[in-house]
Amino acid sequence: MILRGQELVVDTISIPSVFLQEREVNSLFQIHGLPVADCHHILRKFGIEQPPESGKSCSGDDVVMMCNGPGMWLFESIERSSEETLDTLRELLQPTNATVTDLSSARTIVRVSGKSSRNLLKKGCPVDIDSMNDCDVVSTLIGHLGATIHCRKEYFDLYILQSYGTDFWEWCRHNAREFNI
Amino acid sequence: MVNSFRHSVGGLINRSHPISFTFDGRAYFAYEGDTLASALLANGVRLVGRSFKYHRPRGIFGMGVEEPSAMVQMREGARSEPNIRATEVEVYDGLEVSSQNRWPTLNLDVGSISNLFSPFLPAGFYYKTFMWPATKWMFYERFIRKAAGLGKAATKQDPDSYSKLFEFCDVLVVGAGPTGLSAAMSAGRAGAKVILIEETSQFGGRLCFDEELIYGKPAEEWNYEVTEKLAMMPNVQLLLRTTAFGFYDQNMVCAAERVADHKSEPEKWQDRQKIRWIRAKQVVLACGSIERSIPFSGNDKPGVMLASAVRGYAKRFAVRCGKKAVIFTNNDSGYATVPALKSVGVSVEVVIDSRLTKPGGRALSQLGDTPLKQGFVVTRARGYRSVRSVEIGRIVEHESIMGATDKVSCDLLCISGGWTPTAHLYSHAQGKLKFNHQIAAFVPAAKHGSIYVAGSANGAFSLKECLEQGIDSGIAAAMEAGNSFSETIQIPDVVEEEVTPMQPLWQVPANGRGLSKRFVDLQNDVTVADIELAHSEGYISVEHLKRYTTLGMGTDQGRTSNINGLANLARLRNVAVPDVGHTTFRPPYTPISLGAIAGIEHGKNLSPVRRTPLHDWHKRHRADMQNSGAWKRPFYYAQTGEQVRDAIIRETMQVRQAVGVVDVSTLGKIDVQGRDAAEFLERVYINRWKALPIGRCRYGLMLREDGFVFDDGTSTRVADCEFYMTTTTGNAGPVLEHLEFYAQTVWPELHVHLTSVSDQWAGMALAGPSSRAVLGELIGEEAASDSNLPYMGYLQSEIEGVRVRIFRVSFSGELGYEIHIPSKFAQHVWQSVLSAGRKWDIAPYGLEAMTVLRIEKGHVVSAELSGRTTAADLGFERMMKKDKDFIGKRLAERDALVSSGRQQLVGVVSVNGRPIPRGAQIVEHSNAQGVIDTKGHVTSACYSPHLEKEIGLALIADGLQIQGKQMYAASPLNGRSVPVEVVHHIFYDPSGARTRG
Repeated sequence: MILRGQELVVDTISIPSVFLQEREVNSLFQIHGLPVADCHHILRKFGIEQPPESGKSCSGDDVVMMCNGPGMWLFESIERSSEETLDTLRELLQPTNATVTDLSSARTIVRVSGKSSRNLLKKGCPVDIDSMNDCDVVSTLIGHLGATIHCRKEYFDLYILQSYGTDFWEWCRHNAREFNI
Repeated sequence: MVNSFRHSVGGLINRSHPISFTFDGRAYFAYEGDTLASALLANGVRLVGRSFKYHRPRGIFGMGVEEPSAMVQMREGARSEPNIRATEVEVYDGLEVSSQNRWPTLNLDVGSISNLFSPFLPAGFYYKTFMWPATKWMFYERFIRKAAGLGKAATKQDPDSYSKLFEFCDVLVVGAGPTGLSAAMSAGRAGAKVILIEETSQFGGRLCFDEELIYGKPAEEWNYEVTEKLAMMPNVQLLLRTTAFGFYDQNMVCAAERVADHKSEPEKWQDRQKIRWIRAKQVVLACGSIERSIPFSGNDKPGVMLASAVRGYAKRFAVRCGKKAVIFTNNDSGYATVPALKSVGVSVEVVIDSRLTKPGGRALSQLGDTPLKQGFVVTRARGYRSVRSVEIGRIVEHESIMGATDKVSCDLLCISGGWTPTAHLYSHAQGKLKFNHQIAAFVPAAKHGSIYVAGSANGAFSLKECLEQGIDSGIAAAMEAGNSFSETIQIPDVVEEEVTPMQPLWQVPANGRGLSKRFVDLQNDVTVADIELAHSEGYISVEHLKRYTTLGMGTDQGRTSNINGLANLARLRNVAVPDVGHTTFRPPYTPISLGAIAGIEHGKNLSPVRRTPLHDWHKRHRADMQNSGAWKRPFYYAQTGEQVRDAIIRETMQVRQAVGVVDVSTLGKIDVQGRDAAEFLERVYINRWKALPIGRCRYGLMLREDGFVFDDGTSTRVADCEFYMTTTTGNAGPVLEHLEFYAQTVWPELHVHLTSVSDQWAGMALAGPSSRAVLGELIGEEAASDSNLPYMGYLQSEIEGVRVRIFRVSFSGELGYEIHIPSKFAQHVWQSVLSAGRKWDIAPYGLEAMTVLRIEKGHVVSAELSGRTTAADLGFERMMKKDKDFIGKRLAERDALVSSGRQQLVGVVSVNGRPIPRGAQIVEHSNAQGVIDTKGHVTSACYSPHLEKEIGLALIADGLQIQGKQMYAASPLNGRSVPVEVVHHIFYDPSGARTRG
């Protein structure tokens, strides 16, 4: 941004400042009814020492566990197959009242990166995107679609219902034009 | 190139960049930085429009958002926009502008004949004239509508894009004049996240043209310094060309940013406008104030302008608004126009001050050697397309003009009737206003919620007060938003001089020659006489006055006129102005384009589209994709040369005679887990669930609390504590919401968790006599055998290495299976099913064939589950278990829902072979009057290839008792009446042998 006289002029954007990428989902699960107090042994199994606070995520050996509500967790394994992870989780959750549901095919994950990624999300998301920091998780709407946003240092992962995936991708492309996608 | 009314030096314009534009087809030139108004004035154009009602010549009156008269039609073709204020249009190369509300030309407007008849067209004219006969109103309305309005909306689709944006900040500062700049600076220094929005293309407000000194230097320099500092602060966001147009609950301020309105067309990547929804912890309103007019005879002529506007054009654009000027004021600020005009070479003939009190020291120094007439007023402006002279006379106690009037030759009359704080946003937020007698204006009564009002918006007009209030409010807002600040910010050094209070002058008394109108509201042609008429006819409330006269309506919302109108009503009622009160301010503050309001949500982006995992396959195989709620579903698969009806018949018979497969991925699917999952379903459905064995499915029906049917579907016991529920496509969301409500709030003691898995599982229904053979090919004959997978059975299996769920259920009336696959493998499995079924001649079928199959079988869908039918109406009475409780049980037993005469589900067959209209009313006689004599209605209808008849499902009063009776399906909409025979609703395989085979 430069000042010319008193007028602010935004430079024409020539370098891409938003990058979109569809990230493959290997295994993704919704865990219900698991209090923080009961989740230590599960987390340790996957190399996580401390459970995340509400609205936060934590990462271990190839897994990410996101707290997306009281007693609710979105659990993702990058490498393991969904069948293997489901069996492991069911076994670990056996002593608790928690339940696990396979969502490995239910979500499209769109990774948004680049210096204007926050500006893109602001176009459809009614939460304060600027206040989101690394490991923040929020379930909200983007462009009228339900979404879980996982904020990382370099990017955002957006978990969208897979049936809306194509539509959401187009929404991103359209709204990111001004950032030279 | 030289503009005839442009001074050779000065102004904040880029003289090295001339710009050409056209007005009414004639070419003019301007400079970068000009507005359309300044450019027209610089070119000596005075007449820019015609008034709304009387088609009187009108010129440029103000310099900004307050402009009531100079509205133009911007651009041509699809980008054309009407009613744009010339004062806010930034001129660009190639701009095409035309005047409005005139025919055939601006100079020679036939409509101006209405001015001659104006004595017969007072306020309320329409209401009085077009009332008789009342039946003719629609006739008159056509002509009134044709005559009404100003510009014309574009008839072609807008080619530009618009978007919306959510913003959050600690402190939102609205207005970037001296108050707003100092508020933003202090809040920014306190560490707050600040958004500063400014309506125009430049920061500084009055600092750009008022000759003030800050730290002994021109205020303009301070403006530059502060703006640059703000631009460097990472926690401050500056937005130009952005208008805060509405203040809503919880400090949400909506602002419209004109991103590319100053260009001929936006860049390819750029939106034309953006709506910003700004949620602020604290808001500082530094919106400034608007100078007001003084009603006197002929005060609407081109060349009569607000004094501050004339000053602004001179200083900011180096434009002379005339050659010989007269200034008419009732306050000190009018005097500031004298040196501004002189600086661009305009001769100031005289300053007319209605006050008798001596003006303040600064005003006197600004006056210099210009003649001053105190206690005088302008009684009349003369001229037609421009002011040529004014008459002045001595005013006595605001009520009469004493003695003879003098005539002063001039082509510019600068008026200052005092200043009105801009309190619109404050009022949107339900802030109350109080009347400040010192400035004769309504001002914010107190700090309201998280809103600070500062500077002239708060009635503080001196520069020092503005800076001081800006700093104070900025710091206070930042701290209240959670920031801490311990520094002291010095108020900039400003010379403050004594100001003599203004004396309100709400109108100049008519001076015996009443033919010339005294306008209060220039945009709506409302005169003092109109207000007097309204008062005499009993419209003494401000709200009634507004609606009767249109005072304060239109695009300017009475910014320069409201207070004059209220004060004149107060005068007539003989009460004080605050006793009259004021009208209600409502959003938007300025007109907002429909494009910006719609944003991206139009055309294909109107609402999100859902696609099944098989969508691409369907498209590749010539499926006609139709909307089904948010989903896209294949209607039928066209074969070369085939008509729609033929395709549907072919697909239907394929299922009846061999095997077909249909995409049912859109079904709602809910994972119900927990140790009380069975008990939960027992309470939700009308039938039993606790005893359902693992590996079995059951059809279930759920009611709403009021006893009517809500939804249906099958649920399967996958494990002891796990059920897989399916719902109708359309009710997937509402059913989950309904269940969550009960799980979380009504039965929190039940241990049950619900998760939507509609997107996790794709579904395909394999149906037809050969379906078992096809399934056997996929999972092995033994696995697919009736003994291993009986009717309403379930098993988990693998197809081509993919774990799938197979359900022995049928919606078609044939032997059938549903195969549910993790969505990401759906295409793979679909292809495998088609390959496996090739030797049985398998073919995909679409939604319409599925509909025909289910009508033949008498299955109900949303057309029958309309929210007005009970389980008994649909033939499910025996499913409702009396010995258990379930949602809706109590109210399902009330008299109205169990009494005779209710409409019951039956089948209907066309007697004469003509198609049965969907939605037709069922009547007893062919000449019966549709909905009046109706006994029911057709819910679904189709041609049955199996029966080779036109059939349908219908809900008919006591339908089960009148089977065999002939009635009529009458469609009042298209005048068709088809004789039908009432029959049982199951047309195909009533014993279910084929399904269970």
